[in-house]
Amino acid sequence: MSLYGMMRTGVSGMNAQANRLSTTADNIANSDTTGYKRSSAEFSTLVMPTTGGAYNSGGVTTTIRKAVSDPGVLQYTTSVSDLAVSGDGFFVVRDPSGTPFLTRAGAFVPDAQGRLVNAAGFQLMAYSYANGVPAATVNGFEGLEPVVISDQVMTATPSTQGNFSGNLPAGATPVVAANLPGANAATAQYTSKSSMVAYDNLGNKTLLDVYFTNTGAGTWQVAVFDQSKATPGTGFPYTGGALGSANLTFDTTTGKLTGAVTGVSLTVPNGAALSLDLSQLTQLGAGFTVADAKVNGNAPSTIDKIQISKDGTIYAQYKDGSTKPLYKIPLADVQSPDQLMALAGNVYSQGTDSGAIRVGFANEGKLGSIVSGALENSNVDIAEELTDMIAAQRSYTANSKVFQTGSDLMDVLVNLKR
Amino acid sequence: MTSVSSAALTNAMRYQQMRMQADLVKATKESSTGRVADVGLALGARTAQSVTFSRDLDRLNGIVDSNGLISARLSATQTSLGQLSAAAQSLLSSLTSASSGDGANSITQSSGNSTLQQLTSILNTSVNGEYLFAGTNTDVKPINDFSAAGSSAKAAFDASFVARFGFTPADPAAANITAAQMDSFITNDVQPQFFGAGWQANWSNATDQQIVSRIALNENTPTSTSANQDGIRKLAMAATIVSSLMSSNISKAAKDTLISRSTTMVGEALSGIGQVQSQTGIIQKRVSDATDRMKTQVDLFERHILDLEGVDPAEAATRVANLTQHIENSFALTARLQQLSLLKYLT
Amino acid sequence: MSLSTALNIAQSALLATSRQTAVVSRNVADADNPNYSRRIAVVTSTAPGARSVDIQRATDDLLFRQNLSALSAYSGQNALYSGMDRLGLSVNGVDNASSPSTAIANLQKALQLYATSPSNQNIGSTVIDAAKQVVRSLNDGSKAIQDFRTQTDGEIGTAVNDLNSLLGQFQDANRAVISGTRSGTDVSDALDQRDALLKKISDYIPVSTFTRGDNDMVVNTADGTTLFETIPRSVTFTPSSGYAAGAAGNAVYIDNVPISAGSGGNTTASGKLAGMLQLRDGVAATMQSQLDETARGLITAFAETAPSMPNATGLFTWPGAPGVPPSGALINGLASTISVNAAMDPSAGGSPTVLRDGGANGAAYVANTSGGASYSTLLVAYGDKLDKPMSFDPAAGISVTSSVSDYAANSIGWFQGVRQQASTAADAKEALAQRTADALSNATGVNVDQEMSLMLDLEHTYQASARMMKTVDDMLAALLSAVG
Repeated sequence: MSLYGMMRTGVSGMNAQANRLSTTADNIANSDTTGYKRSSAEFSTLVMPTTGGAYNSGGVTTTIRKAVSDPGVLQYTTSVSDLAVSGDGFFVVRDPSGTPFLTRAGAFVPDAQGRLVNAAGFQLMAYSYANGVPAATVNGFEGLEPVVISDQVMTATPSTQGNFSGNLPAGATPVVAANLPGANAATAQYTSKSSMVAYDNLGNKTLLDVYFTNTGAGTWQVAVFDQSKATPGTGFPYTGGALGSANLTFDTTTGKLTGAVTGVSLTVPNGAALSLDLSQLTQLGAGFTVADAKVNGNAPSTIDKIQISKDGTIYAQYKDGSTKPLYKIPLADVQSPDQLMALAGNVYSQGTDSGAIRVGFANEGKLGSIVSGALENSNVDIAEELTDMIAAQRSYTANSKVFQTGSDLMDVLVNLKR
Repeated sequence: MTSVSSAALTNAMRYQQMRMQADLVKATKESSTGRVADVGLALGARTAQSVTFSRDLDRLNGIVDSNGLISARLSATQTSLGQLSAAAQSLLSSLTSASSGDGANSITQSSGNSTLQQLTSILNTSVNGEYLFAGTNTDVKPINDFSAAGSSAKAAFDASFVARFGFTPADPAAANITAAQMDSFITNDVQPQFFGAGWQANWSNATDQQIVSRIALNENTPTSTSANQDGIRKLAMAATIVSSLMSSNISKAAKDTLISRSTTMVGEALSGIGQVQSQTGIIQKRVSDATDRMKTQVDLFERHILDLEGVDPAEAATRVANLTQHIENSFALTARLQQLSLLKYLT
Repeated sequence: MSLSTALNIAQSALLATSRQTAVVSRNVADADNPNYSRRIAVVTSTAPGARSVDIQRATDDLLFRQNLSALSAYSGQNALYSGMDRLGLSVNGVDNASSPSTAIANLQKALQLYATSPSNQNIGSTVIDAAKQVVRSLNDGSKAIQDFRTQTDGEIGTAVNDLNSLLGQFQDANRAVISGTRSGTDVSDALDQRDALLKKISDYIPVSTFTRGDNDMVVNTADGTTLFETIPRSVTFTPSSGYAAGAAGNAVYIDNVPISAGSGGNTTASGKLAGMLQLRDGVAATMQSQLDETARGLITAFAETAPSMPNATGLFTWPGAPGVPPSGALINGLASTISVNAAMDPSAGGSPTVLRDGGANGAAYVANTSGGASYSTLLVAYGDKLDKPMSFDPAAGISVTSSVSDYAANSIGWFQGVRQQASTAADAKEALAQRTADALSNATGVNVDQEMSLMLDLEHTYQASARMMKTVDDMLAALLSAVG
């Protein structure tokens, strides 16, 4: 029990409130910083041992808490590369020297090299699709690389499979064998014709003429030709003959395809082997109708823009409208996000008490989803900070009064000796 | 919930107005013409009927018109035949008086002469440039004038007399001709000139063939007479004999034979002409009957056509009035609808 | 929850409201655009305060398909009907005034008059004039038909070019739709454009469509020929520079498959192309055959006959004279080559008396052997022959046995019968097209009043949000003044 002790306690209280005011100042200053997490000062008592009836005033110690796990409000923007995490999880970024960090500040823009860089200059890390569909390395940052969006040219994909479904007219007049399209004579006759676009190895479009010809009750011949080889005006004969043909048999009671042959195989000129699935064809008493027709493959094209899906996949969208996944953005999490070590630039690194960093993909486990075109606001509430500030100011004043009272008493004590 | 789009609201109105205006144009035309505006659209395949009716109507009117021509020709023929008959009658009376011994030979002869001239002039009557008695050869005078200079008929007659008797009728020797000789002359020499090849050679240019005309859609009939009719030939023969021989020197007996033969001949001629007259009358009747019939048909066809193409004028007028009213209503409604907008109330 | 959150929510509400307002104003702006589908702004709350606006487009697939098929049907029918209107007018004239039937009736009348007074050569000349009128009617009709066919051929060529260019535009629109759908952007405008193009295409050819992944549309014709799949298929047609009777026109090929022409008055033709093909190769060609048969009938009816001599051409003649065309067999183009026999034509040094007496083909054929000027038997016989049944080629489409004059009248009847059906069907199909368009418009179009009331709602929301911001601002100001 001493006046000095009381004065020290007052000083400790003032220091604590100064800390608190500092956090408030920081919070207000960063109230509009994307991904900023509010700091707060938590106090705990420092107790001096008391002897008998003497009370030794102790002090107050300050612990700084970061409300990292408290999500901010999402603010929608118009840029697809603005990312936010809705739910738990952090983006993995690295500084220019290559050290990985976690962050929720997702205002990414491409830099000169095409890397996605946020406002603090950290580069977004993701797994590349270059070697197939990536898998996350759970306990580390291995395999992650900076996302680079360059004007890469897509390679063409040759057609390998297709399907054609529809109805062939049941009442069609059969064509004699010599005049079947498969024979490729100038006198060829057919029942119905359709055509489809397929892609060769270089991604060039090739038009395939598909002829359906009735050869008898329930039997049809399918013949596929390269339209560019047709005789002008008449069609038949095609130079080089049919690319492929097959004989189909339909059940005359159900109108469904029976028999082993359910498709036609052919090789696209300058392209890959293509198998055309015809298993959904029917032969009913209606006219020739096409219900669906599709052949895979695509033509080469350049990147038009990128888009990012909720699971974090970065797609390149090409001029022809097709898309291709380039990267998959992982999310990282720790057991106790609030214990992460905050560093400049809204980034965090693993702290002693935070638990180990685990890496996974969005929507997996308790990880949240990635929202493209949105940013996470800071979770600071100005009103709260201001009231805190007032409270801190009053506390500080009270502490200073304690000190002053101690000082005054000390004065009285010193004057006793006169 | 059924909702109405603004475009559909105004469009439906516009479409209706367009249709009504198109209908109005048609209705106006129909009410002013009394016929459907577009026959083809109204009748469709039955247009063929309407076309056929109109065509037949035109044809019938055409035939009625041409029947007028035929009637004119026939009545002129009838008049001429009447005149011929009168001439024959007067010849007969002068012959009768001659046979009873009255009157001088010269009077009888001149009567024959004038009959011959009348005959020639009547038979050479023409209507519209067509000789009535020419058969089909209507552009040539059917009868050659016996009294004209160089008449081949007269020459042939005179020659036949000289050939038979060796002298002319004016020769005094003619007084010796007996009645029997005269009779034989008339039968064997004169008759062939009128009923044999002589007629066509010297007298007539007419053909036996007559003009055949269509007097109704399916009725054809000869509509002319020919100078080659027997009655006319007989009259011509009687008149020729009388005019050539009566004032000559031939004997009384021969003259009596001559008169009696001529009298008989004229009598036959009268009945022949009468027959032609009645035939012509029958044709006239047929033509006028046909005309009447066709006029009835024309009426019928006109009614048919009216049935097919006609429009009740009262109905057409009502339709015009109705459509006008509708269009006005529609305009008023459109104007109202344009007013009916929430925009008016949002200020 | 905090004041800042309240401020943020109010802000996002403002953003959402302004996007909704943009949609409303777009709807109002395009209220009169028949190809515009109403947009509906759907607001979804994703997270507290976060609202995203999704733009949906009102569609009714069934009504749209109905509308397309009604449009095609009407367009085909209308092409036929309006074409027949033009054709009928140019061949038969107003109220059939210049039709062969009318000309033959006049000839018959003149013949009747001439038969009544055969010696009158003025009337005889009238007959020849009437005959010339018949010939002119046939020649001109034949020429008009072939001109019409050439013209229609040209129109088909233009239509094919239009169709190709529409398919090209369709490819662009389809590509925009696919790429927009893949990237998740609002493709309403591209869909509107694609639907509008589809309507235009169905004007030319009936279409059936199906949609593959990413809104990629495949367009087939109603009979299954591919019209568009990833890329447009070529529609090809070689126009002919001119037509002769009996000459077949070139077909229109889509993807090398020929389009079939329509048939019947209530035509099976769907789309303008099939309608025009029917006009060119069906209606006009049949009409030509009927004219040809009428011409043949006339030549036959006026043929000169003589015992133990072959029949020879009389008043009407043709390049095959003096022979008469074989009975009951169509000779293509006869109507354009028929002419009046020069031997009877006063203006060509002939005389109508040859008609009256016979003998255009030599003395053996003279019927008026006595040479009478009022010989009428032959003339009356000609008049009878015009009414006498003879056999006609069934290929020309009408009565196989009838008189020439009836045949000519029946030809008009046939034409008007088809035209009447076409007109009735055109009215019905137009009404259907109109009704389906109305129904579609009702389902997908804009009601301005509805949009306006929505606008009022939005205005209120906006005002409320703004008020919210003001209140929060006031509260913060109060706090700040407490600090100060």
